[in-house]
Amino acid sequence: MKRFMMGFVLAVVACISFGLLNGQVSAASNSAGQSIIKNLENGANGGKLKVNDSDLNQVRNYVNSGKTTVTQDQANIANNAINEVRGIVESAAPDARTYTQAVEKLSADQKTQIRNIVYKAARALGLSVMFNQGTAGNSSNDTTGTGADTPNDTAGNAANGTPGADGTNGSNGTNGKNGTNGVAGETGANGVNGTNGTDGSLMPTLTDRAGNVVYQPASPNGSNGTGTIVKQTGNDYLISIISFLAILAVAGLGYGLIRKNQRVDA
Amino acid sequence: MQHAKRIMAYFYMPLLFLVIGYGVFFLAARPILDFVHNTVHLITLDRPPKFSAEKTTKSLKLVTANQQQTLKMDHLKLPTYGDQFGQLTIPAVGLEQPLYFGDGEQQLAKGVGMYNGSRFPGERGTTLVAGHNVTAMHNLNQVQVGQQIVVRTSYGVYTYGVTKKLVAKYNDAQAFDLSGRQPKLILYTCYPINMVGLTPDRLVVYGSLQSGPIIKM
Amino acid sequence: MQRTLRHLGEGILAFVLTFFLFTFSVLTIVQFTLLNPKFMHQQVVHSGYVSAVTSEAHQNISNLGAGSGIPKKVLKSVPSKYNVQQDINTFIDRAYAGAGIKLEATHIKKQLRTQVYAYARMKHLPLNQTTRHAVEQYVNKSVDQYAQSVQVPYLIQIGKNVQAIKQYVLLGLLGTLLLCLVLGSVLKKQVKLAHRMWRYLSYCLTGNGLMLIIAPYMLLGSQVIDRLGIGTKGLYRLVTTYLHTFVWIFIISGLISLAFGLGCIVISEVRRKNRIHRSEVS
Repeated sequence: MKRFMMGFVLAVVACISFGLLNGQVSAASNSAGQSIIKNLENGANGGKLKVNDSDLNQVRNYVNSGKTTVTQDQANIANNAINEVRGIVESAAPDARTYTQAVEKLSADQKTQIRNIVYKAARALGLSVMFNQGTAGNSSNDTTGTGADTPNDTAGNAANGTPGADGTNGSNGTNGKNGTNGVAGETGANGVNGTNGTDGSLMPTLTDRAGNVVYQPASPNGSNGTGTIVKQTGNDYLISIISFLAILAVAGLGYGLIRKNQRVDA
Repeated sequence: MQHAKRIMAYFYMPLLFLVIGYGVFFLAARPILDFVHNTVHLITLDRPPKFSAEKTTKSLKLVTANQQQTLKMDHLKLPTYGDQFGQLTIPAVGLEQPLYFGDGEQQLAKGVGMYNGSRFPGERGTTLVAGHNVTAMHNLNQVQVGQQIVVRTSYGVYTYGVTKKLVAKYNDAQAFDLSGRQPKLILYTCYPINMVGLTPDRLVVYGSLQSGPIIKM
Repeated sequence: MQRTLRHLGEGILAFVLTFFLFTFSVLTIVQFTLLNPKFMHQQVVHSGYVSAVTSEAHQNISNLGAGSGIPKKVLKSVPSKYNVQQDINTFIDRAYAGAGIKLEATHIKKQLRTQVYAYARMKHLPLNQTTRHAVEQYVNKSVDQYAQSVQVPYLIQIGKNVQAIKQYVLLGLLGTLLLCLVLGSVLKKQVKLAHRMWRYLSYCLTGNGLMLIIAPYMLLGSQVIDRLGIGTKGLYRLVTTYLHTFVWIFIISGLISLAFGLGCIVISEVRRKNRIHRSEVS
């Protein structure tokens, strides 16, 4: 009887707590979501580089949507991700005032790093990456140049000012057209165009778990580049090699056991 | 007993091989499996995607008259991408179109679409709405300064007064400036209205809010 | 104790043989599916991708037309299914060869120009230089949209990866086959009794079969493939059909291996009974 009463009291307390908590959770989720927006509004480079209004509004609309609940944990992960990206941008492009200027200065590695951070944050927020026809940077009818993925040596272009380097840009299909412009001597512009080609590749279309669009990049090219989510390093494959050798060693052990314990059977 | 052991071996030996084999395989293929594991959750949804052309608009109730001067964001149920959430009317030119959240092709095929990177009517900021010149906004060029634009939504009725009308390039950042805290409306469509082909020009109509509940955080 | 250790050694060898047999099976399946453009062609047919792409390309071109003052009905026959099929086939072959494709799509350009100008003349619209330039912009943009519809995303990148790893997969195939043969012959030599060798072979084949079946079956059961975030219907059906077929090939191979394993069990038992019968008679 005593146990029953205790159980009943616990159940009532749980219900009341849940009811109170529910009210608090809505307020908490709203403030958790708002913290993400406030963090984004700070921009980077001391506020000189601002997040686009369109990007900021898309985040606002997602956070304020009646169907979204952002927990404090999720907000913390998202804010950490924003701070990480801010750190990368501020170290690579401290004077940038626009996306284009910032992306110009980022190396291919840094772009991949930012993409991975964004994917990680998207996962934590329960978002999915939606693929559509036209994903993967093939925004033109000519993909012959998409071959070697030679990184655009925009720094080299700027330093050398060599029209020949325009060919590097040309290897990116869409960028190839811009490379023609570069022959006119605007190699710097080629770098920008090349970057624009991958601009869209930094951010894909994000949806919620039901497939409703949450974020669409505002890049004029709108092409989402290829790229691996997780980079493979030499250390990872070392485990594979060790496993393979271990298997062979086990086989040797088995053979040894047989030979050692062999006897003449009838 | 021996017989039973032998028969049982035909079952447990392969199972043992299965368990140990998977263990070794997962260890050996860890780089690939880590990559797959990290990717799978990111590129999957909770259920299979839907491709139906029509997004079901479950009994949309539009407000006819405003009850309050301000609304709290917490109390609103803002739409998700693709939902119809209102109606755009310009009585002077007889324009009346359903208003969708999102300006993708599906939405523009059915009416006018609000860019999902702009603010909702009633919020402190700019609402950007697009429509095709062949269909929904075929008579936008008849709008004059001073006329009224009415946006009825599921949470309030908003009236804007037309303040400006101009032709701008599609990539004119100033013409489509979303910054600023004043509630305003921008409608645009391709220009010239009756020309065929891709044109870089847009007919842009600006409206400033005259009445309607302001949304507060 | 000695006997136990000997059997343990034989079991270990059998396990290692199973592992390499499994690896060989996986590599063989990968060789004939993922690395084979014919498999992709089959899935394109199987999933009705061509019809879907034709419909989607038409929709994209019409949507662009709606934004260009051209009603849908003017563009209803663009593009044709035959041309789409040709372009898709060419794209897949080129992608698997590690090369891109330059889609000229002259058939589409010609059709669009003809139909749009006919419409403009019908509506008595001015056909000045500005209009002609705008129409050309529309035609070029439509070709880009068409190219996007035809090109399977990431396939070019996949094709390049295929070219890069093809030789390693083949080497792996030959290597694991060799290891299987070596281990098999070592085991045969060490296991004196023939029926025991069949028994170990049955362990290997049924173990291999189970390994080929269990994980893919669990993958199908989790419905991960059906929940992939792909927004276009044609592409969704192609990718899910491709992956389902790929997974089912594993399961069917596993069942075949299980069947052979059962056959080995029967042979082992029969041979064992014969041996006992022979020793009783003698």
